[in-house]
Amino acid sequence: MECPVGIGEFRVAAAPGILVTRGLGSCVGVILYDADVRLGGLAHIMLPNSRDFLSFNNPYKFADLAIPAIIAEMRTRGARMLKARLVGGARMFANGVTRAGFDIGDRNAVQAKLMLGALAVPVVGEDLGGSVGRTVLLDIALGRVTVRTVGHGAKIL
Amino acid sequence: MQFIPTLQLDVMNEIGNMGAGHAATALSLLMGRKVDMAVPETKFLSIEAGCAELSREGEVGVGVEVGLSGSIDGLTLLTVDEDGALHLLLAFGDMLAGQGLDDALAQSALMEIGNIVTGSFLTAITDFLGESSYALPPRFIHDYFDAFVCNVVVAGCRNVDGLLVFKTELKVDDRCVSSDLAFLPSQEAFGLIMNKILSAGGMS
Repeated sequence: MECPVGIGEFRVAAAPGILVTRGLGSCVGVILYDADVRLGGLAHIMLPNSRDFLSFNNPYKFADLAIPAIIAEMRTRGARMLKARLVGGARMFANGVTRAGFDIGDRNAVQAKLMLGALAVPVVGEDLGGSVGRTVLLDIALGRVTVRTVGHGAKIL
Repeated sequence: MQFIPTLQLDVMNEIGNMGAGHAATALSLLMGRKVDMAVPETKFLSIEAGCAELSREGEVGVGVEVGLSGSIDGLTLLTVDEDGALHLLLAFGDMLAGQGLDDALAQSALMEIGNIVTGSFLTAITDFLGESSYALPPRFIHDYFDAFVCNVVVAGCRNVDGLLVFKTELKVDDRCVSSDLAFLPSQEAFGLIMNKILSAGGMS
């Protein structure tokens, strides 16, 4: 059963099941997995830092708030050996004029790595950058992460 | 996220309709066609809700992004589906009829439409506020909606967790073109707009 993770959301689920998030452009998908307890998590991050904003309604669109929250939930549910994969963080305007702030994909990826490092979760795979949109699936029973790229087919990460 | 009361959103919707009227006139002059444009609804949404509103899952479309400079700064994004974009090209006449969306001249024509629509809405907003602003050169995007919309919105929102989405009804020769216009003001511009429409509503 495919379980969609929307923009600025995160979800944790046990096997069997598939977590999927579509249309990652500059957004970053943070995929977390514990093979021992077969628990998976997926966060769809839009922005690096909540501190850039005076007010907001949903904390889970920010890397600095979503990553600690999803890791805390997974550890509460028994995860001890979490590993992370990162997907997305593209620059969708490769041929355009670069304006300040448009390297948001890169900033999302950098912030995600910082947060994961601070919480002692190793990054074991990544498919980041470029100027393509991506869809990512985590098959929790198999621990398999599939990345579909527009025009480039699918690959296992 | 900031919140706009219904009454003030109605004011923005009226301003949007003035902008749409200006845009229809200008597009009609440019194309030599009958053009109608209206804003049936205006929404103020959080970043993620705005992305969801503007995206059409799995569909490819066209975006024209225009930066704004001056006292009302920020950016706008005009989104059009592929069929609509091709219909707009047809409306330009023989020179662009049958051109694909990867053709440089076709892209230039669509950027001009984005410029005109943005300029018309910007004039309506700045006239209402008594402020001045101008549009920067447009940028063209042809990709999956959910990939490019999110990129433009998160890069444009800077420090405001909110954007205005003018749901637009654009008709060229009585045929509907599916499009929306998103307006992402900076924190300062957002403050100016809110103060003005709150005082206009007697709520300052």
